[in-house]
Amino acid sequence: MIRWKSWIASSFWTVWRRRFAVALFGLLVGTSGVAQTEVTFWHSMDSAVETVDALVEAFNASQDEVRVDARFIGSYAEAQTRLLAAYGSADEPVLFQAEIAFFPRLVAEGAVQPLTSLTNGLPADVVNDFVPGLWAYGELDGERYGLPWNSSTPVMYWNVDALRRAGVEPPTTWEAFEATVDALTSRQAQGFVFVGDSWLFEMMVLSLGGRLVDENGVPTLDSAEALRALTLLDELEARGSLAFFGANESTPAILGFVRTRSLMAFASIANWPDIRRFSVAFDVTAGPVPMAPGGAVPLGGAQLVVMGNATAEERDAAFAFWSWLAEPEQLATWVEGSYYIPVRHSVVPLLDAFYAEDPGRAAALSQLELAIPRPRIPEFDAMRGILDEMMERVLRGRTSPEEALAEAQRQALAEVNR
Amino acid sequence: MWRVVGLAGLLGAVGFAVIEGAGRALGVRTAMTPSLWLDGAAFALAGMGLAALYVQAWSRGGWARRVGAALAYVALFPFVTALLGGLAELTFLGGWGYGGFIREALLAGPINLLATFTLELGVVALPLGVVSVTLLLIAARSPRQTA
Repeated sequence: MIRWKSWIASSFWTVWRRRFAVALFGLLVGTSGVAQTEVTFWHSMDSAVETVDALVEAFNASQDEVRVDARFIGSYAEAQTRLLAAYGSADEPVLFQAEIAFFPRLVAEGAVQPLTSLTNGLPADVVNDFVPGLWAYGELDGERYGLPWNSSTPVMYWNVDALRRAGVEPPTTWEAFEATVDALTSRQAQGFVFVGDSWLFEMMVLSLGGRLVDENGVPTLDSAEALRALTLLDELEARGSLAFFGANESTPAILGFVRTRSLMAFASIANWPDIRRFSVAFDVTAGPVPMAPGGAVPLGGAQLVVMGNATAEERDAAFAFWSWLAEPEQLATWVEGSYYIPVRHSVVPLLDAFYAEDPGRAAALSQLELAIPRPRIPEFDAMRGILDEMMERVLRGRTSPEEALAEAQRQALAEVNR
Repeated sequence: MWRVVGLAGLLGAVGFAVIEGAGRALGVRTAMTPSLWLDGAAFALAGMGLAALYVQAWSRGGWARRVGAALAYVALFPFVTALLGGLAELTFLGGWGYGGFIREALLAGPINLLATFTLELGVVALPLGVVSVTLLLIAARSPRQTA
């Protein structure tokens, strides 16, 4: 009987010891899971999604405290729509890649967190290593909200074989550009394909010496330079030398270029991998855009921002991820995969072989000293749509450049004065 | 045989004129070479070459063989035409010395013409192909006139 009782007692303890051990193990595992901070990262890097995923995987493997969950959520415009839909809800990401014209609006609406206290802790040699214009872009009203990672400038792409056959050189002025486009146009192809995106129109205006918004934040869409840019496009279209596609039609535009139906194009340097994706039957390269004296180019790309809903832990984790991304080795990997401009000086020597392979890859970098920020007023986000629509109306033959620009200016002023 | 091959050449030339006209009307670049004549000749020769290849199947084959040969004619037409256009451009207008030109003429060209025939001008090109091959089938099956 005693034996029997003793057996029951020992079994009882055996079972409970096992249960206790399992519970303790679960608690430890659970605790370690809680200690790892999750950072959801929404990005728009379609043509470099493999590079983003590889970097995120390497970061996650490099430490245990932070786990980044990167999600490609469509183009900048699609990402903007999805962010606005998720804004303030549990679906809102911790880290978001905000296109630079959208960035001021996010700041103005208080949707993102200031990061000044974190960047103030960065060593001076690190801060000084960033390209000043790209580093300054993330600051607004004396606070830092954005972190630089992917920056670009528009460049000119061309079909090397077609220019060689036509016996023309890549144009460096707008007069030469017009003549080259006409010289390349034949029964087989149009000399130039243009996607009616506000950024590319802004590039034309800036390179002619104009601005879309003056230093007081007032729109100047009806400037002489804007008229000259739009008239040039309109005349090329009327002569059949220009293939026009709307702002959301970049894929057919790229296909037209790849199919040799158009021979020159303006686009971001980061579009190069998009072209490479197709089997190009000709040699393609890029160079600086045509430039008038005193001209400039607009910066492009995005800023990484921490959304308002993120906890202090998540914000710090997102910053740790960015700090790792911004190390020279990771930036070099990023540039080689995406073709974006290196945002730190110390990265450039690591890219010598990459740029030597095709000097055209450095076209955007060579324009960096002429690059200026896009207008940093919250209303510019809406002005982009006004510009896209204006180009559609003119280049689809529905109105004259003068009328379209006057109407666009009226709409832009209404946005600013709203 | 020669009657069918000749008709195929004529239909190729007519097809070229229709595609060229439709392309101009709709703002679609359809040209394979800078020359109208070379493009027209490529269309006609492609039609003749393919008809010579399939005329036996059309005239003597069973139902399935005739249909199969007709489908093959329509499917191969853009590739053969573009290949002839590319070869003509490289030969008569220069370019054999440049790898890029050769790739353009022999790779981009066929893809371009296929896209033109299906995506850009499919509404015109596909009915045109069906009508052409039907006429060729009828011509191949009809008894030869004897004196």
